[in-house]
Amino acid sequence: MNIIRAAGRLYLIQVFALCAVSLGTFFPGLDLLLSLLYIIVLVAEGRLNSGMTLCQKSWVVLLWQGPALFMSIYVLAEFTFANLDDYAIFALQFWTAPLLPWWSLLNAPTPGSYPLYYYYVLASPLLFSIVYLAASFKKSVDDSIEPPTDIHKNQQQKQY
Amino acid sequence: MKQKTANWRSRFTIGLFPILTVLLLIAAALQNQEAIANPQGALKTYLHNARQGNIGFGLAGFYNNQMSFDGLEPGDLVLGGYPDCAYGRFSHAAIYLGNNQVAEAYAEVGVLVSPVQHFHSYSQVCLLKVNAAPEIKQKAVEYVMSKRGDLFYPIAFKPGDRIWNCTKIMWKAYAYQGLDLDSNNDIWVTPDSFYRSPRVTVIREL
Repeated sequence: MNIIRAAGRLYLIQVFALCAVSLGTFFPGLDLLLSLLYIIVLVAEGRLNSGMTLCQKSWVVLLWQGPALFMSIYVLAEFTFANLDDYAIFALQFWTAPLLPWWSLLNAPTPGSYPLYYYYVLASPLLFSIVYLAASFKKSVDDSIEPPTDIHKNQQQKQY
Repeated sequence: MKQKTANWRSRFTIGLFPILTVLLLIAAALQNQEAIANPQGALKTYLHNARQGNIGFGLAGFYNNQMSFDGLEPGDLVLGGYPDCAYGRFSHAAIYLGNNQVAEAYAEVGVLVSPVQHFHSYSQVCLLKVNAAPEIKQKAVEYVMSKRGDLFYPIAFKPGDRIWNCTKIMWKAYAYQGLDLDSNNDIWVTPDSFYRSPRVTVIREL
């Protein structure tokens, strides 16, 4: 249940973030700020789920970014089944819109026939997942080195 | 106290973007009331076609039209459309560079140069002569060429010069030369808006 709740929250955040960032492009510069805000929210969400096990967090990531990861593979492998090939890249662009403003700043020549942002778009589902997982792990480490509180000390004394 | 902070943070992260979306929607709508109310505008056209089940650029394929590209000058526009396109009659636009080359923008490749002959694949094609001095048209071409490899996003709004779609880049290239090719004065520029512009003349259409 916690897994579905956590994935549902991330879905909701992602959907509204892509709407907000897309609308933010109407006010140039604001889209970059909103994109940054999305990363902060994603990190906060990761920290909120730091109590989960790695297995649970992996399920959350799979539910949340699984369809986008599938789309990335679909585009990369140039699949054509289900007639998604015309729209797969559009769907991915919309889904990864929370990071698109930053990709628009990072233009550089590539050896292949695709521009650099094309590879960013394909890698974005993986990047979202890494940011979320890294944020959730960081909190776990912080917790593990946190000095024991007075309550913990009293409990330890009672055991003796 | 810690629990309270966690609850507050949880509500903040889930509620922030829905609130921002609503606020931005209101701000954009207030700034563009005329464009939104325009029956020939991009939004109304799209919604009208979506109600009939048409979304996106229509039924893509190779329609092998017999359009001749003779008479095009650098800076002129080429429009292409598939049946059941949601944005109107045409779904794509390109600017002619000369030597059978056009500059255009697509989702996978951004702004790029390609042969004009690929417009044979569309079911409908239109060649538009931009009524401007050759120097202005040349500057428009140079502007588009300076944006090669830039990012394509389907719903690129008019403001800004980092994010493009196939029409916004042509519109901007001419807008910087003092020539507004958007006949609708809309939030987005559609290929149909170029077609209806009083600043262009149809050379040929199929």
